[in-house]
Amino acid sequence: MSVLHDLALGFQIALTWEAILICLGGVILGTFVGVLPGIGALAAISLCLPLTYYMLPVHGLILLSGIFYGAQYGSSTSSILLNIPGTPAAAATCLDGNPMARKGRAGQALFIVTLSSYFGGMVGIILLVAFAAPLARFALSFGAPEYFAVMLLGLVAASTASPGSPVKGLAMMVLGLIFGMVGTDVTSGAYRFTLGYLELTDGINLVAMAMGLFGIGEVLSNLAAPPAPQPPKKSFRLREMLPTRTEARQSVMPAIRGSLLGSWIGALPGTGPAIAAFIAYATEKRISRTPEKFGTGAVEGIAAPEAANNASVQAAFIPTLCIGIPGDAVMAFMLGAMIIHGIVPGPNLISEQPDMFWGLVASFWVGNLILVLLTLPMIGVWVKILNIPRQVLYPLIIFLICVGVFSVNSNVFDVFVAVAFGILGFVMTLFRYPVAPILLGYILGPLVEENFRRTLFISNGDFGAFLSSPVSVICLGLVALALIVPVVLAIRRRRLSPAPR
Amino acid sequence: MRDRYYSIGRGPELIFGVFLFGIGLIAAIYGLRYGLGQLNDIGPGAFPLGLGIAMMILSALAMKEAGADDPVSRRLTPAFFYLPGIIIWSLLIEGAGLVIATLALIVMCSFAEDELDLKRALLLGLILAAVGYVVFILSFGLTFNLIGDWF
Repeated sequence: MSVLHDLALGFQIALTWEAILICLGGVILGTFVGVLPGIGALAAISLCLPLTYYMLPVHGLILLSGIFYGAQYGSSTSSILLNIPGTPAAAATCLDGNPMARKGRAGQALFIVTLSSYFGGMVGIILLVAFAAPLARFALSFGAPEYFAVMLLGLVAASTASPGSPVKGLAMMVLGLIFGMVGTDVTSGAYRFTLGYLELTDGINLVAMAMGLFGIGEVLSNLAAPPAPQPPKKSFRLREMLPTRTEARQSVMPAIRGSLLGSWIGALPGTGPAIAAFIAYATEKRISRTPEKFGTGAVEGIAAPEAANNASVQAAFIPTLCIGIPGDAVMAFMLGAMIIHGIVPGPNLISEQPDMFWGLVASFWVGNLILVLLTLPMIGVWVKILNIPRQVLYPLIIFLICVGVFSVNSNVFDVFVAVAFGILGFVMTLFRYPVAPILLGYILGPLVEENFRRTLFISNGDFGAFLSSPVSVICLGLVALALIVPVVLAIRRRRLSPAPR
Repeated sequence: MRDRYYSIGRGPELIFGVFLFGIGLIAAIYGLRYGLGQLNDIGPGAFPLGLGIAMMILSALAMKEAGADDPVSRRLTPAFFYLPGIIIWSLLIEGAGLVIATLALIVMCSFAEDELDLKRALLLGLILAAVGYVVFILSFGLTFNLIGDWF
């Protein structure tokens, strides 16, 4: 029953007017960037981080997480209408969502997607509530070697599991780790890679870096790409969007399976909503009695991945809040944001700051409910966002980035840093280098190094200490597996298809 | 003529790979300089050295992959207006203030498009400066000058 008591405490915080308004603002902004293809949740979250300095920490986190899960709701809109995912996580939804739209059933697709998203989100939150405290208790026994091993697993898994080349993912992760070294070394106090700039002695500014990579970089790559098609001129009235009874029945079980899959996958290190959605889609296709219907507008093919990606974004908070180890770049940014607010996520968070933890969890409930109420009747409004001309939209975003970066320290230097990272992010997307691992590496870098050095310090230089507990052995074993499997696959592929050129 | 799309092929990707390799090399050299320490007391240079070596290996492997995917076709003009626009904004924000900096930024950005719509750019700039004033200066209390010290 203590869980109910804790939740009651959380709702006392999440149901104040201020918290509800902030949550509303967060999910609206999240839906907005989710609907827009090319602008992801990270850009919006990093834009809003400076604003949270003026709020209570718990309100700040409610805002930032609202943007994150709000973006998942919005992202399916452009998948269905334009066949362009609003965020990578909604790519799986294109496969059957867009064929449905072409058959004239866009309204029904949006309706099913919204309800599956809500269902998935709820399952993810229930999992978070159920497993947070036990996991935190388990993580209390973690020492430096375990932290090192789990973080390394998160880094390697996140950079190799993302779509595209695993080598490029790993290279960007290492680049992020190098950026994380910039500034004052915590252990020895030595300045590293500061290039003589006083501004860099505290390290690279998180907001400047994230806005450069994800804000400026994404704006530039969107502008460089051919213009996106305009959405069909169509009105969406709630009554016309209701799915038929058969469609409703067909989407129930996939939504349940997708939610369960998504919430487990989301809680694992290194996996994100995109992977959860694709695994859910593949599972549905495999167990379906009519797999040939997939890709032509099968209801199952949109209900499962949308439930899965929303479940996984909620479940992604489990390792971040309970162990203090983020599974992907967005969560890494949230971790950074918490540290800036003076909160140390980890096994002690729930016991030491229960109001913070449970208030945030309760706000997820509020936010998901707002999202359903907001999305369904207002889909027409969200679709209009896709009509904003880019000559207005992108200058607007760039303006917000400038103000946001400058406001952190009232410092022009940070804007230059953001420009540098913007160029880097833009160039990387040209060559298909993934951007997210840089941020993950940057945030985890100092923590990885600290735990590595501490382990060797405690063991007096004995590397056996890294294999002293089952947790670290399993994690390091998985790291080795994650590094070896792609190599084996590549060799096999080369043997199967000799000399492509 | 502005809207030219360039095919980004293997050559530029190799240059980027060399750039990454260089970062790895620099990290490794600086790592050696910062001091490696002992096994039971790792110095500040050990991690940068290890990361630098890893970066060099990975960037070399990535360069082997260069050109494996079909090249993307992109127009590069917008970047040459947006990025200087941001620089100009940051040079003007303290001296000239929010209004002029924002106008300059938006006008710069609007040059990136084929048809220059100066009226729309100025209007957008003024609206953004006004909204920025209300949101950031009045409600969040950020320390911006609406009109800078130069005037």
